[in-house]
Amino acid sequence: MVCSLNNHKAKRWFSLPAAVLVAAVALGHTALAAEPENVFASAIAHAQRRCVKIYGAGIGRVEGYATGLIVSADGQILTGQGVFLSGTNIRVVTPDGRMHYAKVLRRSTALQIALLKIESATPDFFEVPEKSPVAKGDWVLAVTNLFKVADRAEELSVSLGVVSLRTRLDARRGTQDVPYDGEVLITDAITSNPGAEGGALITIDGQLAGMVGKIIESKSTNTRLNYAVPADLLQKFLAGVATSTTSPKGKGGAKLGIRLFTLTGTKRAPAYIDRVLPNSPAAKAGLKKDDLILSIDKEIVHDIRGYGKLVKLLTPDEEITMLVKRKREILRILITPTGPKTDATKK
Amino acid sequence: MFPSSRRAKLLAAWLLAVVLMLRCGTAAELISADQLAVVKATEAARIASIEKVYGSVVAIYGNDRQGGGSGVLYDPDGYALTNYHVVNAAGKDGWAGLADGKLYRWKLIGLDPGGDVAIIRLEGQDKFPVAALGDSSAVRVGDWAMAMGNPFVLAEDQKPTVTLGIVSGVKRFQPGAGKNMLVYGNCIQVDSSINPGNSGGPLFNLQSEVIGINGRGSFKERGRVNVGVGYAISMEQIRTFIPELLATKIAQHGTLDAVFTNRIGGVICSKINLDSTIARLGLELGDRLVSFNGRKITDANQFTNDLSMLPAGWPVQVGFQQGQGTRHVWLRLDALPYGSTKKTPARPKKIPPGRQLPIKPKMSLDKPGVVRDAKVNRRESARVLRDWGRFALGEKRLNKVPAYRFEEDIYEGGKKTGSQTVIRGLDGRFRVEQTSGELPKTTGWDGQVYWSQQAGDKAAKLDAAKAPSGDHLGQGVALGPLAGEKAVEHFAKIELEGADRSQNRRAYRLRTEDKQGRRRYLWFSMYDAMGRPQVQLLKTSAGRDGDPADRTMTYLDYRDVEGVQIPHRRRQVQRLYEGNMKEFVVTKCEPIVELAKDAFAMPTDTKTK
Repeated sequence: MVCSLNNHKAKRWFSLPAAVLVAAVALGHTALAAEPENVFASAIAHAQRRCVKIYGAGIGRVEGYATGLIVSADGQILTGQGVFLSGTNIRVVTPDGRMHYAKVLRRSTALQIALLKIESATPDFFEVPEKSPVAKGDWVLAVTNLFKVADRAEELSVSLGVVSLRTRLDARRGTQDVPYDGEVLITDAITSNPGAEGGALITIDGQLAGMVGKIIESKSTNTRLNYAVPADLLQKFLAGVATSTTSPKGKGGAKLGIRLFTLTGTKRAPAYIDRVLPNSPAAKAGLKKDDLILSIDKEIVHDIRGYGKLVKLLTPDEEITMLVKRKREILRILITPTGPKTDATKK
Repeated sequence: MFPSSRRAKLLAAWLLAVVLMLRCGTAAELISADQLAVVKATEAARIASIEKVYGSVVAIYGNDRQGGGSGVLYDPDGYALTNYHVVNAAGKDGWAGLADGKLYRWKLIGLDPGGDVAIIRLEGQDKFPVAALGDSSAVRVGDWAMAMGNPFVLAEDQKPTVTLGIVSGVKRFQPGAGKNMLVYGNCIQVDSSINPGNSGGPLFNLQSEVIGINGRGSFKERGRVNVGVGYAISMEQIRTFIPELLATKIAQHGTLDAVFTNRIGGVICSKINLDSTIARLGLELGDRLVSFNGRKITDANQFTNDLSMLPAGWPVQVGFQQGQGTRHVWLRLDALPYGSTKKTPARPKKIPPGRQLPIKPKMSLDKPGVVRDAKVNRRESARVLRDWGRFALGEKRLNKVPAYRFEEDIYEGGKKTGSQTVIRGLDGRFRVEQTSGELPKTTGWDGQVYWSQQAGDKAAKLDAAKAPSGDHLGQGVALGPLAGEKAVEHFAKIELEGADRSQNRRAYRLRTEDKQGRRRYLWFSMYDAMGRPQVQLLKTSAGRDGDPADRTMTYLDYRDVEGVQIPHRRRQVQRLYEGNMKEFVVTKCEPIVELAKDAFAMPTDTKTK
């Protein structure tokens, strides 16, 4: 029993993917031959042509820039969910150094990713595979816009690592504030840096293995997780957009059961709760009249209008965090919106 | 038999051994012998490349043996590169640990606060282990990069720590701190772990060549720990600055004293200091920058990167479009000033995010660009001449031939205009029989007297004060006393002025004066085409900038003749761009074994002019 278990582990460990061997062979050459070969050069060049720099709003220490992956010839771009998408101006700089304005097509709260679109043809794009091309121990390269060190047409930063494992992250509130809910690739390449979010994780032959996730930091130890959203999950997200047009996801179907105080007549008024509908998600979560809504899922609610916009993006039956101010306290409220009534009942 | 706990331990150890054996067994099945051999060869090659340079990595401490940074020896005489900010913290001397476990004394030679580089000299060994300086312009993203140094001052036995990663980005620009200090222009970004203490240490490629000096990381967010983003100052930049530092200067970086901005239509001059050299040469606000040093400029960042690697006084060519016309001008770069160390800001300024904390210079930076230590500078000048001698005569100086005879053709404006026969002694004496122009002419120097004789005329002494500034020195010098063993004593004064460029090569520029106070500038190369150290005489002139009156001569096409390296082409040039005026091409060169006593002597029955 013990032996067989270890045997299994041993197999896993030594099933060196061809890629690593290729790299090792080439590394041998680099060390011995006079003219060094760069084994990663073609994979990197492939990815550089398919990654973009994204600039948007920033708040305080949260940087307003990230990376994105071109995933279609008509300018669809995958990136992470972040503050940088909250402003009205989302700017995308394509590898040729040109700047485009982008709009958000869709978002996924669970995967913390978003799909953008620019009005420009992008003939070079990533094929997002349905099956993950990497396993534990495989070498990967991360191509990211970290620290904004690359400007305009300058090339993004590249770091090297191996896939440490594929595991599940559960969304958690509290000390470990993890909004992400799903499987991730953990790598030993340090990707958890400002701006790296949305970057490409590629195999050393250039295939897309995943997208670098947004920064997750332990509040107690200040350590960060280096992870990527696996390519197969990205593919599901992309496919979902194309197929499930009737899905209520992000179509504004979610209901919270909150009426805001709108007497002032302006849409710029702060989002004070005027009334909590009985038996609504809001009532169940314990929201009360006169609570001031500060944020929904880390997105700041500036005013009534902002609240309306954010609620439209919510997915029914998906728990979200809401920060509210009640008298002098700031409360973190967990709330699960309900779905919309069907058309039949409405009529 | 055994206490139970001990038995358990034994059992555990045994199990572990079995497991390990099983693993190996499985490995043999899944990976072929050939593949395993490749993996092992790769590993062995990497270990070999580390071992080759392990001894050259320096751990740098202050006199209190506290603190610490890293460095790398590049010259067997004990010269090592490190960061300015390491030396600034450590002081003007201190202790240096090598992989042999010993501590050596080090002394500061020169500083480049702008580029965050310093050169120190270790003492205590005749021949220190060194690492070769590589070519950072060939570095590409994805190349392996090994950082070595003393992170967190971990090594109590002084053995360096090695961290392996890849090049993450090239041609990066990281803004400086304070006034024009610690600017990382055109630097190399790596994901090799760079931690506090790695500062000043080398970044190697897998060929064991230094491609950069590790100096900083993106530490701003999370305290001073590695976040996978380190920056190394490019060897391209450091190579250029080395003579400035060896001259014991506080090196200054170059500037045009004009700001260029990306606008529609190109890179436009948006600010200009009207006192700057480039303004005096005609650059105006709104002009478009089109080229810098022969490279087309399409982006202001690219220009900033290129410029940040050059020292003040470096000759550059700037092309700009003004109205309809395009102009190309040559100039020496103006100097970027450093902030005075005396002033302290009344109020601490807020540091914008992404900026480094300003460094507090402990050493005075009040007199940048001047030789700080004349004695050390003289020693460095002597080393340049020594290395030139080694190049020209060979290390062992086997050559005993006293002189050479040359047949030379003379070209002007691409046309052959004459020829000459020259006898040059290794001691610097010469005799030239020229047949260009209307009348044949003979000139010479017998070691005491310069003389000249037109055909049919009587020989005449030349004014000793004026003669060497003619092309005579150029005629004689290539073999001359410069290559002698005690060359430095030939001059009343000699000073290594710093870095310069000649024949499009990096050069040491020396200023010499003889007993009569006559100035002569000498340019020596630093590296050969492969980047290896090579000190070759490139240029001689009476002036620095190639004024036509200075009689500037460049020396090209060195070839070995009987163990002596002899330039087979000489050009009389002018201006910073070294425009060709007259070229002497050697068609025949032969040694003279028996030199007649009066070979250089002025023909008798002379009158002083």
